[in-house]
Amino acid sequence: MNALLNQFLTEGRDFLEAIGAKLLELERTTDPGPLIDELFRLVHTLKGNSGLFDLPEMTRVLHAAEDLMDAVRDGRLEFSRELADQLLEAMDFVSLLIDEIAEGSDDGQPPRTSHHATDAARLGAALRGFLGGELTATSGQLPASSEPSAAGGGWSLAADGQHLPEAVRMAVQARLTAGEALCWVRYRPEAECFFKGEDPFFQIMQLPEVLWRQVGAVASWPPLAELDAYRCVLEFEVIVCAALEALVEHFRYVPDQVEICSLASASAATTHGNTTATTTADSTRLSAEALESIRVVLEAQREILALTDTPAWFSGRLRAVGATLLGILATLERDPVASGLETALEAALATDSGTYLLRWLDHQTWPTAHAAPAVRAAIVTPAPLGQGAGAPRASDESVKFGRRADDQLATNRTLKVDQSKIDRLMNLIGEMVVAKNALPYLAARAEERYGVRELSREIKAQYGVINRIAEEMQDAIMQIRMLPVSFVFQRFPRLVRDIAHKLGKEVRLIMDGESTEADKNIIEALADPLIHIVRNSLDHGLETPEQRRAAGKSPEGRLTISSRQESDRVLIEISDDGRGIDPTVIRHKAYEKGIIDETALERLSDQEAINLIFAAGFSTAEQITDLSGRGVGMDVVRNAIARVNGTIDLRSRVGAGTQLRLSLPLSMAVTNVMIVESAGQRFGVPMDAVAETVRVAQRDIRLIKKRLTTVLRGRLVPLVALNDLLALDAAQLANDDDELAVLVVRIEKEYLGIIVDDCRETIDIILKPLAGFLGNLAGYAGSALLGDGSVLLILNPRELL
Amino acid sequence: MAIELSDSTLIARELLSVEEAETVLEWLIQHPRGQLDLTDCTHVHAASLQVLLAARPKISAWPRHAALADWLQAALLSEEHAPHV
Amino acid sequence: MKRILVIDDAATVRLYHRGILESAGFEVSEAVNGLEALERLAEGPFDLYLVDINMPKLDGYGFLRELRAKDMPQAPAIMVSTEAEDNDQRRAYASGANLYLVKPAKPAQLLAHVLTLLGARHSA
Repeated sequence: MNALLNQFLTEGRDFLEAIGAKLLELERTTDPGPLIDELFRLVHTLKGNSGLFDLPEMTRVLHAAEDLMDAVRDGRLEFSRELADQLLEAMDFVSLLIDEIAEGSDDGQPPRTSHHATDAARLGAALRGFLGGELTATSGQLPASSEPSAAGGGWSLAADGQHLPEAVRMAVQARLTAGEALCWVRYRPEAECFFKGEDPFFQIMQLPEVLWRQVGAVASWPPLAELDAYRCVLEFEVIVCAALEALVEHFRYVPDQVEICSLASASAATTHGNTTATTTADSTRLSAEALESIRVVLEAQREILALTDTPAWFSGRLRAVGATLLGILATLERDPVASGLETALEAALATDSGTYLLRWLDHQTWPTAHAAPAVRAAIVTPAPLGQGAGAPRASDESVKFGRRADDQLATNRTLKVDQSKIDRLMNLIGEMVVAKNALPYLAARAEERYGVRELSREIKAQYGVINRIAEEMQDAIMQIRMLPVSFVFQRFPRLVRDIAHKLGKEVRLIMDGESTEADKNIIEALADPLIHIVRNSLDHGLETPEQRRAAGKSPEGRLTISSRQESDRVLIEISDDGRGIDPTVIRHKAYEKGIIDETALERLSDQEAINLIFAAGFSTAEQITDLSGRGVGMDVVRNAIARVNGTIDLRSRVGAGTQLRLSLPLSMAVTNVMIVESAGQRFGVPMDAVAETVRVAQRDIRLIKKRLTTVLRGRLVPLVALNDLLALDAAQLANDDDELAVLVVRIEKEYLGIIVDDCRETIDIILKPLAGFLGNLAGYAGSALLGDGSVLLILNPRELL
Repeated sequence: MAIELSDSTLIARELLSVEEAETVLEWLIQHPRGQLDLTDCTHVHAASLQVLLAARPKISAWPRHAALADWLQAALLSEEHAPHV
Repeated sequence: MKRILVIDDAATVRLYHRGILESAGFEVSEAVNGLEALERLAEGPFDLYLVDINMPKLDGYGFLRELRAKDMPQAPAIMVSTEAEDNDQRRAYASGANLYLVKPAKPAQLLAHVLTLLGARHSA
């Protein structure tokens, strides 16, 4: 992708994020002034950026948003929640376009986004709607969906304004009856359009079959002597045989200057694919035009000199004009001294007036515009190659590489790096760790197989060095991978606001510790569960203002999301002051659903009962809402957290609220696993699940209620054979003393013994999730490469059972 | 040069470009009775078009280019000249 | 070697201008707002300034006024804006701009003006 486009997309996303944040902040602040200024600046700059590319849809919406913010800034319009909603929606649209452009850009050019033209028109109109009559009169809107009635309106507009010839009227009727798409178009090019290289008449000429046409001036024609040929006052009206969509596309560069009404009923959508996209004057205009530029610059200097104010910087302004005129003379290869410019400038400075310079300007003979080669002929004829040379090159090409180092001062010290590059580093360090791990094998072989102990020792020493560097490198890369939890938190203000509105609840969101960092994988894995938890809180936890008032609480509910680091874990707490979870209700629900039996119903403590909401198939929702009732229960949340070695803890008090605490590792990239053998294969088991390894004599294993169990340290521990779990058709092997190797794992405070053939060493591995179909295999956490090049499958005891 | 000027006639060939708008305007101001020969004209830039519309000169020959002729005739021959405001 | 100072808070716009100007062999420096641009003047005057209007800390108008009030060789300045309003143009000229362009300036157009203002020869 082209660097400029890339920059635009990155910066654009930053802006959108900032805009979203500012809008939400605005709803809370008591001093909106600075925020509104900042918001305007952000929207304005983003619009400016989008204008660098051929993205009329994006620019259009942003332009409308900018006008709106401008009105708010000037106090012409009150900031309101509805306005914020509309702006947020517009920014969502822009965000969507940015994503689409990021995906679809292959040759450095943004892909066309014209299929969003109607959305853009709708959003633009909605935004401008806030401005009321202020602007609608000047910027005609495209009717996004023209209903038959609207079509009639357009028709009468054309028919009433100026009587259509009978022949045309009949032709129009006939075509409409035949089901053809007809549109009425009014095009009022903006006054400055010629300076943008546009030729509205060319645009009009490119229209397909025109049934009726009219061209005139927007207002009445001025006397010829007063006409400014370069200020467009034209107005075109046509009835054209084309579909609305095709016309919207045709005029996509000037949507604010056209009105289009479909004369056919909306159902008569005939395809009119041959409406050729017009190459605009801009895109074919390749050649720079020195003389045109000189004319424009001279004109500007005249205007500057004609200014009557004399500010403190007046002489500097005069001297800048002098420098500019000097530039023009040099461009024309005229002698500045002979021309008398310097004398005129001195006289102007001495008199504190632009008069002398103006007089000097008038006495010079300047090249006239029509001596210029007809560059704009490029509109209809290709530009002659000789003129199309474009940008002149300086004689010394190498200079541009001699950029001064301090030019970089202006750029931010933070580097933005593509995620895939970090992932690549991660993979490389993974391989490095693996390659490094091969050295001890090599050392052992040198000694055992070749008997060179000296070499073996040297390899080991070298291994020590490489090991240290690799570990530091790994640590450094881990640091790069660290993301602040704000990555996930940042969407909550918007999410909470939207959902609360939808549910008619008042919620105050308090966030804390957003800068706490954890590995990218952890943070990313956190997103969905957290959103689900927040939704649950809003949906089921917090009450409506009426309910809260009745309960003697403040009508506004509180939702707190906080994060902090504790040793090597990240703790995230989500708490609300809602109605809380009633353990009695949970007990009965669980019983009804067959999750617990009658004895459990009485025996369960309140906390145990509350924890039942994590049980599969449990949902406390009394009715399924479209927010959190998508069949996803808290069990899914718990599993998602568990997948990244996290735990979840829930506390609740009836009437006082609910608190969920997530504890997650800081990093999951390096995992310490124990290697176990079973049925001739090796597997890894993450050490944080392993409580201990023991040898259990066959005779100490008993069958209780058809389950294998043994007693370890006075505690009854159920046993399962790994071969059974993995459906491997083999019996577990015992050692010479008829003892079985047992790996005791701890899952949620419960102990379980897994019988394996043998327990081996523990190693550090870089865990890679299983890809492809294997990704769906439950029971495996992933795989890792070993030093000898073999692949080790890592078991996930929690899912295995 | 795509235009040829005399005291009585302005002959436009191929393109009546944006640059020529001012020339045409000057000429029409100075020669209110001047006629335009557009036989070989294939396109009129909108800037030049509005000069023609404002001046409504006599056209001695319409363009051979049919679509352009249609437009210019619609523009210059319409009864109701001053459009609605 | 002509030195041009590009002043804009949008990195995208700076990159865009830099690309156009460097391809023509000019030396480009950047500043992210008017205040920073003023600081850059300590390195000596530039040959041309390309100034955005809306910027935090010190906007384009403010920068130009400060620049023009300085007792140093004055170089032309182009004000680049997204508005095509007469009002802004007059304000730009009054503040000390020598040319007012509406963003996005087409590369060829921008370059033509830069060459004119710098007195450089246009394409052969």
